[in-house]
Amino acid sequence: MKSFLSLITLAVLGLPASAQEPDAKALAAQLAGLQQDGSSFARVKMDGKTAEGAKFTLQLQIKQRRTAKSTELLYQVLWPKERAGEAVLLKQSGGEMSGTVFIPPDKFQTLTAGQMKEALFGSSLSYADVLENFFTWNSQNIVGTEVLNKVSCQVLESRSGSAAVRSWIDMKRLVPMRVEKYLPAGTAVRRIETRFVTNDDTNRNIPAKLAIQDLQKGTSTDLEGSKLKHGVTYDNRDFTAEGLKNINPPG
Amino acid sequence: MAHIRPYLMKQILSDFGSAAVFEVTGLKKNYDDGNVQALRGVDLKIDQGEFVAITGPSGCGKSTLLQMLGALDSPNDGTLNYRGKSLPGLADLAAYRAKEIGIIFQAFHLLPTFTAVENVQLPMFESDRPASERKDQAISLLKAVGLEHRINHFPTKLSGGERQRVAIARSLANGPSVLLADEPTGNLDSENAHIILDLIIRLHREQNMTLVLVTHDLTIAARASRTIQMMDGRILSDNNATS
Amino acid sequence: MTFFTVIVRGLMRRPVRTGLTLVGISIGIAAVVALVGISRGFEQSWSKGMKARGTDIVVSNMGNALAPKPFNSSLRDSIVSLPKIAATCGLFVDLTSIESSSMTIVSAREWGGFAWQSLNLVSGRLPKDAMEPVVVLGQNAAEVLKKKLGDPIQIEAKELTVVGIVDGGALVENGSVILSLPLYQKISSNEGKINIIDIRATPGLNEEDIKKLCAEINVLIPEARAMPAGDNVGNSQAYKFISAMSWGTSLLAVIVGVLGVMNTMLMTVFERKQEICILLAIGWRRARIIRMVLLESALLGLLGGIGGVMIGSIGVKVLERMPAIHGLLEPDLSPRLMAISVAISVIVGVISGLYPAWRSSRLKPSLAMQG
Repeated sequence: MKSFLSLITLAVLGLPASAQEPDAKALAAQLAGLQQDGSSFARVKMDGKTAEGAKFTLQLQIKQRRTAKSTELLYQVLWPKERAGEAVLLKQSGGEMSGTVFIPPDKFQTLTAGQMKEALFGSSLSYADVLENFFTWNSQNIVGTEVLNKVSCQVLESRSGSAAVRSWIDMKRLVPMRVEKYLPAGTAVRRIETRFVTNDDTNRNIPAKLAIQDLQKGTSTDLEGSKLKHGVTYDNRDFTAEGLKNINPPG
Repeated sequence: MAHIRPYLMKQILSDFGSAAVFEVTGLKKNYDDGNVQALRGVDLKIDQGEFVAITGPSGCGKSTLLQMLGALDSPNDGTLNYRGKSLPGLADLAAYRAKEIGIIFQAFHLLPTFTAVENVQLPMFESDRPASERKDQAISLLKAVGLEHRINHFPTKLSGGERQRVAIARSLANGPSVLLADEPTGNLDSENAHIILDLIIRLHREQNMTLVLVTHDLTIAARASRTIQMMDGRILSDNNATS
Repeated sequence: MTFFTVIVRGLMRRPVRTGLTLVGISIGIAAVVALVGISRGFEQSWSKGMKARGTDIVVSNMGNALAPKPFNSSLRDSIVSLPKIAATCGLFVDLTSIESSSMTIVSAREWGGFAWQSLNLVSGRLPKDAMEPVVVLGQNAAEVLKKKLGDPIQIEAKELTVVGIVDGGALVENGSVILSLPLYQKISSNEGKINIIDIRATPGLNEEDIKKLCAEINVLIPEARAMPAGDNVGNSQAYKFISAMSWGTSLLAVIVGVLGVMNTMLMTVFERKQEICILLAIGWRRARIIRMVLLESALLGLLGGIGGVMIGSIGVKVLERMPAIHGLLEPDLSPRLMAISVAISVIVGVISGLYPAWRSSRLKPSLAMQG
């Protein structure tokens, strides 16, 4: 009887400590899975403000293929006319990131690992920001709960080496309401806030408006999505140098 | 004003016959769950056209008796008949208050947001008379009390004596056969008190109205044809005990 | 002096308090007028848009998403075979951001379809053929997008030319970028897809017939839902939410109004206790006292309602003219809504007066002799 009691006590006391780790992992895996949603096509308006205060607007289309093994992204500028056709192809496979920038009519530039931290079309997002899926990192912990704009969120901390990202997850809709990225020293470099959540074509909740701040450079960018279509078909050529030039949306 | 009388007398006679105006026996009224006995068995009979003064010290029950006669409150015990019919048993007490009696209060009790002529019209709302007729009647009543030059004044612009005259005109609005007055000169200086008392007595005489006047002023009581003295909720003396 | 004079004098006894109560009710009713007017205006302008397109029934798949889900245009062919259908018109209506502007309605219509007939050219022309790379803009869309005839306009990756400005007869139409369906299907790689079918029924059908026809269509094509034109938006989640919000807020405002009037009337009754007793003593019936209090509070409601309708209408008009909203609002400030608002206000007044009236009728006339 006594040993039975102590077993229960152990189980009860032991629960929170042992439960937290898998919970965070499960949540991260769920979120990572939501990102790895196969082939899709999106239309986004990007409103940016440089550190000097200059404003710019771009209409972008995004072709993407995300699986657990690899991520392929193609960002293409549709508007304004003078920048139309500018494109960036980003790939990640087995932790390796690579990228190619295309400036019409025929200038290609391969991105080095160091250049992955550079800004995507002059916005507050870096190439790496749009490519990496930190929910797949090994270390995932829930470090608290916080109410953001009347939405109760779990704060999930993802770590990989010296890199750290915290995301505030609306557990009801499974949408990150805020993401912060930190330098190894602990200072925040990037803050991404979700301003509006809507349903996509698969009836899933997705952020439709994002406000991004580069806390080091002092720049800000707003992204407003107007379309997200899943289940589109690409062929492999779409994610090559040749595909960079193809501005047609997928069928 | 005289044109109201034949109509009213006819109605009164048909409704209530020619019995005594008030006939009161063993009338009792308690307040505060019986802790205060305001009337402890009052017997009284008042005939048509009488001028009865009820006197006595404060708290003797004279105002309570007046309230019973005016159907402003109901007795706990005893009988109270008006022209042969039980007053508390009347189906329409509001009609009794509106048409059979006129009440004059010590503090005038005019409504401050209405002019003199409007105050006089207030009781007439229960009489189905058209608005123009109500107004004409109110003006002629104010003329009768000598206030024709003040008809559109609000009470705050009138002197105490004038206010009481408006109140008297109001009490006569529906041509009552009984006038009940509760210390009508109590809030007035002696000169105005004199004028008001003369006016009330004149009206009583001219129209053969029954006048029941409550006062603690013996000089006023002395002008009545009959004086009832009260003490501790009972009648102490009645100089017309034969009636 | 009439009984109405008595009522007015009662309210004029404390003009400041009466005035403040009126302001309170007016604001409440103004909220009702503004919120309900805007949300109903939205619904009506949508249904007007349908009517303007000559549409009796709309077939779409309106989920929670902003724009209806696409389906195969062959679905339309199966509908055409039904009896009582005069004409159909396939559309692809998208909500997308164009150039530097935010969400704009892009309305691509079947070439030669009846939806084109209701467009009145204000200037320019309509497209010459199905694949001519041009658009026409609704008047408000032209204003919001800052485009005039001959200007280029980029939709998705394709640059098109504005060749016409049209008046579509309804807000939804006037806020749209309108182009031919095959052109848009190609630009957006939605070949063979539409997301709305407008249906014109044979003339002479009544509301009941239209509903029956919808039911028949729904059996035929489970992929989408047919609804009488105008009901369409009323069934969208977003509209339901807005509508519920506006009624909810209005209800709250009305409750605040009820409490305000009730408070005023209770204060009035307490304050005029002796006056009411005097009126009882000089022969007023209790029913008349009740009527007096109820009419006073009803009059407060009536005046507050009229004031509220005025404030609400002016407020909405001001809102309509604000640059950020201009062209997006077409509030329904119909005489009916105004009459309903005033009626609500009067009912609020009467309800608020019930308790104070009951209290006042319980007073004893003998209290008149005290004090």
